[in-house]
Amino acid sequence: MAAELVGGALLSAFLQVAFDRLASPQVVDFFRRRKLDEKLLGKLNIMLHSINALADDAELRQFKDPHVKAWLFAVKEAVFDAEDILDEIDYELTRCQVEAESQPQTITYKVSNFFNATFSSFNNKIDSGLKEVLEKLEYLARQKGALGLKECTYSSDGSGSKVPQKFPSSSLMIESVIYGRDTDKDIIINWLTFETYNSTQPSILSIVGMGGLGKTTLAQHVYNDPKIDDATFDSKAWVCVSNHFNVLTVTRTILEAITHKKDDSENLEMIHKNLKEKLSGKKFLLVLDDVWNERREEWEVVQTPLSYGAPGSRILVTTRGEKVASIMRSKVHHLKQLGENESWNVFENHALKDGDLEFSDELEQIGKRIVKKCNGLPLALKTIGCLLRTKSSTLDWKIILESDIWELPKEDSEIIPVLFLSYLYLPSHLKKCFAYCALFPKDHEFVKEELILLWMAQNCLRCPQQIRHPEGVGEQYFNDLLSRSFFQQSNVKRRFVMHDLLNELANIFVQIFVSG
Amino acid sequence: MKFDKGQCVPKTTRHFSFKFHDIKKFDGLKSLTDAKRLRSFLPLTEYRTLELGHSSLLPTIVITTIMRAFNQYPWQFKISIHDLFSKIKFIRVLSFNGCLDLDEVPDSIGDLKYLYSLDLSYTEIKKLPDSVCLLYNLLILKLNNCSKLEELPLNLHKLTKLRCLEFEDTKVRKMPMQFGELKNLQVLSTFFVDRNSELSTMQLGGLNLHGRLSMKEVQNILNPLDALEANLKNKHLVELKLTWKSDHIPDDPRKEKKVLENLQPSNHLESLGINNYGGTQFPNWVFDNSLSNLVFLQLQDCKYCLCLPPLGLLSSLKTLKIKGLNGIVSIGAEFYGSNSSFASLERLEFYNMNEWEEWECKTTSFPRLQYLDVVECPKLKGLSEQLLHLNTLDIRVIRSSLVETACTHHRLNSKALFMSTSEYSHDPLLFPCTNDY
Repeated sequence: MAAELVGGALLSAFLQVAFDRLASPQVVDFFRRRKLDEKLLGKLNIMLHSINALADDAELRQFKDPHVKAWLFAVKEAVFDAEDILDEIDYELTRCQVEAESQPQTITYKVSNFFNATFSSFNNKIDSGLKEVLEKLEYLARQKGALGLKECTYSSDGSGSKVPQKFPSSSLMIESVIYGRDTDKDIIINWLTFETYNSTQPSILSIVGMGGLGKTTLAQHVYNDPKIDDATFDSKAWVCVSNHFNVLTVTRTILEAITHKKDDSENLEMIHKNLKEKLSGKKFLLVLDDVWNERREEWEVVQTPLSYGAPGSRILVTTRGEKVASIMRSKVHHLKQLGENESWNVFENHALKDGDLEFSDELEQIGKRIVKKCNGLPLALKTIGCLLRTKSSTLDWKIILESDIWELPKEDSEIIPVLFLSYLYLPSHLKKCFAYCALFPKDHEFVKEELILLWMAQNCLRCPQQIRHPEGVGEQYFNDLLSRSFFQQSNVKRRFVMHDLLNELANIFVQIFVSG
Repeated sequence: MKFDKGQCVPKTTRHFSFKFHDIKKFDGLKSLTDAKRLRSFLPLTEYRTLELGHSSLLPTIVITTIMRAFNQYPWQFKISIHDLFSKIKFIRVLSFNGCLDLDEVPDSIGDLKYLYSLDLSYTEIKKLPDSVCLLYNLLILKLNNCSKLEELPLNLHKLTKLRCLEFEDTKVRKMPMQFGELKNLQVLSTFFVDRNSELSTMQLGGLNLHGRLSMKEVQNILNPLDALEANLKNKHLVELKLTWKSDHIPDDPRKEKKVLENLQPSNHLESLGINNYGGTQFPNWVFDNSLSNLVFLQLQDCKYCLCLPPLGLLSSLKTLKIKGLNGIVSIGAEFYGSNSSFASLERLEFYNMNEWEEWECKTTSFPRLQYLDVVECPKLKGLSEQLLHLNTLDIRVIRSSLVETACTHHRLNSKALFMSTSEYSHDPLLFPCTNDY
């Protein structure tokens, strides 16, 4: 894999922030005024730069070499220690400013002797802290030979010091079109609207398929189709179940979705009674999105009140597991991978720059081969399309086509290689922001402003010399991740979700990186 | 890292979050205290989304299950917060959001000098210790819905790096003295105008705010020039709420109008609410399309207003709510302003209009209207025929005198809903402003 094109190591994002801070005039000035050892500051800078040069190679090799993985972890610990020291200096800087402002000048002079004592203890602390970090870093840098780590010069002076470039935005944030699913959609709509006379139970249909196939998207399109209007069903409800299948919670959520009312009841019997009343004689459509439950007894309890609906009621389920469908005794609709043409449509739709009508012949040829590697998975096609929209040279496309990531063993996760690839191509500052999102559970609904604040509090945003507002920088980072399909618009206005598989991806990197 | 069942928290953990339904499996905070270099502590409240099916009258809503989570699994600290603070000295992001057992924050919080973000929303705290003002690195302080919180710390201005301060729905009614010194503040949930309104509005005027702002106790601005000092026009606000005291009795309606006139926001504004305003008329900026991006407008309890301004001129407005304007007897041509009125309006709601009798409108008055609510308007004589026959329109008329007349109407649009009973009155979701019934 050609490392030149990779967006930069996750570690570099941490280091870049440290470089900015080490170079800031306030810190340098502080060292002079406090008579701290400026040389230590310079040494730390150099040492971090030499570590940074190894970061790319190390991060690529961590998956194959456990020693490199351990080394990376130790480096991260040392960098965190350095950050702690810098934060402490920051704190001291602000403290002095604030206190100087709030005290009349005359008193400041008198108490300065007292401060001298605290100064020296503070100085000692910073001094010994810096020395300790330096020692650790020097030791780690010396391991370079033993681990066979190669230096890449670009990340320290190339992508890093530049102000991050803007990612072209796209008008395709919300998917209004769904490619290659017309037949599937027709089948499901037919099933929904076909009259059944002799059934007492509502019929159930499960859309089954692996992650990234677009099960939820298909269900959404069916649910919102004009053919499924008020005349078809008396009541429609959408419930996102996810991997916590708790009989009480699920039943209550269904009740809430049907009545549009919050329910605080803890009593399953009461909820059952309520739900039964609400559904009695009504023809309803219930969508249970992302079901994982494989225990029949639990499903049967949930199902009981649902049987009181009028004939013709329907339950539409999306799930990755066939077993889930079988315990619900549901019909199964297998969602297949997209065909060649449809795959190409999805890819083209995301990879074409705004305004362009078609690719050059050469790009189209490479594109077709890349599309083949996506195995007809809409999520993969979408993500790789978004990535390639930023690359216009044939060489860039070729490098992605020939990346050995496609051959990466699946191990125990379902992360599809293409997602992995789009992660590697994230600039390092976005890697850090993305990795931080692992802290949130699957199906978490992100509020952009809140997430930006958290990024800010974790030093994820680079705003050299305060030229730009961190909020603006955060907004740009967020939009970049959004246009790369790392986030999707949620059903709720101004909220965003991350696809399950991307959440898993973030978790993998965080685990490797943070807990060693 | 996220908390998983049965696992202990390793020493090297830097970030920790958990969902409330996992809390049963969580041993208080004990296992965390080994993680001495912890940087984030983030309990996550769970948002659940309910897609509303059948009734397209309601927008998609979000139900926060936060309170429920706590009733189910009361928070149990196995160690005192004070001990916790002494262990997690390197914490950067600390959240106790939703922690109803927390009624006091120990002084030792001032020792957490690395803290960038502190969220104490939905806790029972009555005050913050003064030592909070020693957290010089703090960027974010959230105190929303601390229903017992009475005041902000006096020395808050020492937190010079603060960028976000939120304290919605607390008992706080006053800004701290040197508040205006927080020059880095970008997001401020609420600003209370002080009795010394000149100084107070000047402090607000000096802040370069973004996003949402709710300005309260506006009646304290006696001199309209002080309103100008607030400098709302140069702030990049998207949401603004202006609230006067509810029992505020205006002495001169012209002066009231002048005050509001000088509180004109920038044209970035998308959402505006005006509550308890004491003027008889609204200044021009409210309707003359100075706010060309305005999509949401709510006028509430502006009792002295005798006729509605030409809101039809607001070309981007999608939602208009008019509540408790008891001075209004009739609505006619003055409301539309021109022939092509309400170009974007999709939702129109009238609530508690006790004196309202007549409403004139033309077929062309609301070209894009989809939802109309008329709730608690006891004297209103009838809806215009033109409105009733718009097939695209969802109409709800509830507990208003015209229910009977309308029900006898034969060619009624099938989507219309008329109710005189209190069948749904206990439902806060459907009728957020009629809870007292």
